[in-house]
Amino acid sequence: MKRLIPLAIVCLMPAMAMSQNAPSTPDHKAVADRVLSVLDHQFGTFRDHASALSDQAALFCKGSGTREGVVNALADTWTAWAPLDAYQFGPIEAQAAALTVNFFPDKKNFVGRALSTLLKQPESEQGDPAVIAASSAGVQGLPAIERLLFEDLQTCPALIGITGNLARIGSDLYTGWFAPDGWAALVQTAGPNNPVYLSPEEFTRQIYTALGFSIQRLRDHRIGRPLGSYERNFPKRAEAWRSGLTNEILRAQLAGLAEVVENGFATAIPDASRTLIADNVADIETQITAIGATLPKALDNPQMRFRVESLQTRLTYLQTLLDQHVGAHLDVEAGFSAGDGD
Amino acid sequence: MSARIWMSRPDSARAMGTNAMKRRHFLAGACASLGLGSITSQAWAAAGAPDFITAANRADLSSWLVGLTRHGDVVFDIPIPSRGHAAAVNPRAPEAVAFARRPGRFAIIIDCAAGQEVARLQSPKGRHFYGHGAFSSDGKTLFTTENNFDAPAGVLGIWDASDGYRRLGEVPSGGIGPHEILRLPDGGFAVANGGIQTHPEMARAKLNLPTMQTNLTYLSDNGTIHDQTELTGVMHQNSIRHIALDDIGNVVAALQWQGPPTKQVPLVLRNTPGGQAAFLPHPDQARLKNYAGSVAVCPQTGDIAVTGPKGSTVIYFDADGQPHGWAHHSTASGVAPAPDGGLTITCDGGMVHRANGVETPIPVSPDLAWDNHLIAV
Repeated sequence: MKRLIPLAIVCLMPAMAMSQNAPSTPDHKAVADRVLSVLDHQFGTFRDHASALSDQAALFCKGSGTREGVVNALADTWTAWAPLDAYQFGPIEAQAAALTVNFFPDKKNFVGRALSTLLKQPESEQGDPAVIAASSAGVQGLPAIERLLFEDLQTCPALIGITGNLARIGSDLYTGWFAPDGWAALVQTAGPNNPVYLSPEEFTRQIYTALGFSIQRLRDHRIGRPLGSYERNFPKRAEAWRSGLTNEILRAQLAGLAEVVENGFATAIPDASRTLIADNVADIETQITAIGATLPKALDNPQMRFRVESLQTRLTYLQTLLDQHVGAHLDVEAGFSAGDGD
Repeated sequence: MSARIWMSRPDSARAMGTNAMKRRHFLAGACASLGLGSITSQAWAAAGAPDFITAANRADLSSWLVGLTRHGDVVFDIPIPSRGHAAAVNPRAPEAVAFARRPGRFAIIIDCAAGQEVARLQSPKGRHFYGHGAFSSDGKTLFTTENNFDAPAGVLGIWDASDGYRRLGEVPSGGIGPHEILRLPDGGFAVANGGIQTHPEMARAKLNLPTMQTNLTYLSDNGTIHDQTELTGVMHQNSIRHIALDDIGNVVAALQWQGPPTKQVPLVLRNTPGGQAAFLPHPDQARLKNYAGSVAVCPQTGDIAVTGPKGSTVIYFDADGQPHGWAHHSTASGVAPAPDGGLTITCDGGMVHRANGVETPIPVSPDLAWDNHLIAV
């Protein structure tokens, strides 16, 4: 019965929102400038935390830092990455960072196998970020670092090599976006002569599509894969189950989505629509906290499992809200065109 | 298998003096080996005698396989579950296979005479289609380009068209991201391995651009690889995706540049099986926005047309591979030889017929938006 209420609101809200204060035709150039500011913040945060993680790892391996310091820095870095996971275009695509930073899901244990191979190499190579950069994607990212810290493995010097490479990736991604000839410059010069964006609207559509992918990643991969069925769940399919960061990553990804809507799309959509998205994201974040355990540990408890299942419903609902209250106002609903490419 | 590696751009005009003679010989051989003629044309008559088939979409987001005449008449439209990409025509029957767009998992076999679906292929677990396929010369076997996405690896699915399209197995395609497959006059196949790793769970993201490797792979009629041409150096990111056969047996490829988008690179390649490969630069290639869509060769003149749906442009080359102008056509996408000579191109609003450098618009039902390729029946 509870589900009927939000659905009813969904049906009523478009008419309500249309009467609010959004311009009838979005200023996509202004949207692009604001979204780029959000991305500057998000990619900058990841760069800074990845750098701090590398510093903590170096201290720990020298004996002058603590494991806790590294673990905390890993948490900061992983949650900083969570919103970026959705932006699989531009520098992330050009640098293949989707897999190198976070090889998830890892159905065939690529991370474990790559790490095993690395740990058989001379220590001078394990600790060399350049060697890591030339290695399998599975060994380059956050899951590999997590395993070094939470499995019975020799942590150093591989920790130095992997975190050093990750810091380089964080810096390269930021530069890829915001150097003078970076991707942001392409976005800002959208037009007929631009090799990527023929109009500013195309970037708005790309970001909007990315938010939809973000919800899909949350619902289907981060929650759906470990959830399995009532008869059989798969806690070890959860992201970051070893470190217990699963729920924090979910919340961070949602917060990143909300930041784009609130500060990026901003006045291109009505205040009421933004509030609706923000409130629903906050509700889902609260619901994650209310599970009562990290997601992998909640799956065997019927009551907790029900709370996890309901998250999927709420995320589907969030997608509906996004379509009706954001996409509709941005004028970027999906259409079919051979120009979509393949 | 002899691996030939592209190192530098050879003179694209080399050895063109003998092309005319080669072309005549090749056309005679091609017609004989394909065995085309009255059998198929009579059979297709019952399907409304389409000259082309293509995938299309309507504004309500429904997807269709459409049969078109050269005059723009829609002689059949058959619903398909979701967006299509290309189709394959059985050389021995009025039968077409409509392939799902990546990462779709369906392919539908349609009896175009009856206007009915006769079989529906589902890619096996862990595989999806890439939107293209090709029949064997005798029409009894269908080869489909597929992604073994968890490996990751490219494969060719093999289906028995004479036994309800039972899956017979698969063979390696010779690279990651096999896209278009083309049957050659000798019964073998050419496969464009685009080199791009994708995974259906990652939407349409490209996952390996820094390390991608793209190639043209040549296989015998039983799927054994016997030759490859790989793009190396900076061109390793110039994804070979769509291919056509010219009239002297060369494979002409439309490329999609995946490197820095502001870099200008040639988007067309011509490769002689067992011989040389040469890029075909064009002064207006930038209009394609790094994305060459479909490619076709005019059977009469050897002219090459390469569409650019992102840039709404078609660029042309003559038979010697020299630039031969360009045209603006909104969302220019599919291109195929026209039955009465020249080439036909799909674009917004219908089609364009080009012959002897003259372009003639052919309006088609305005509620249809084409998907990527136009297949001549």
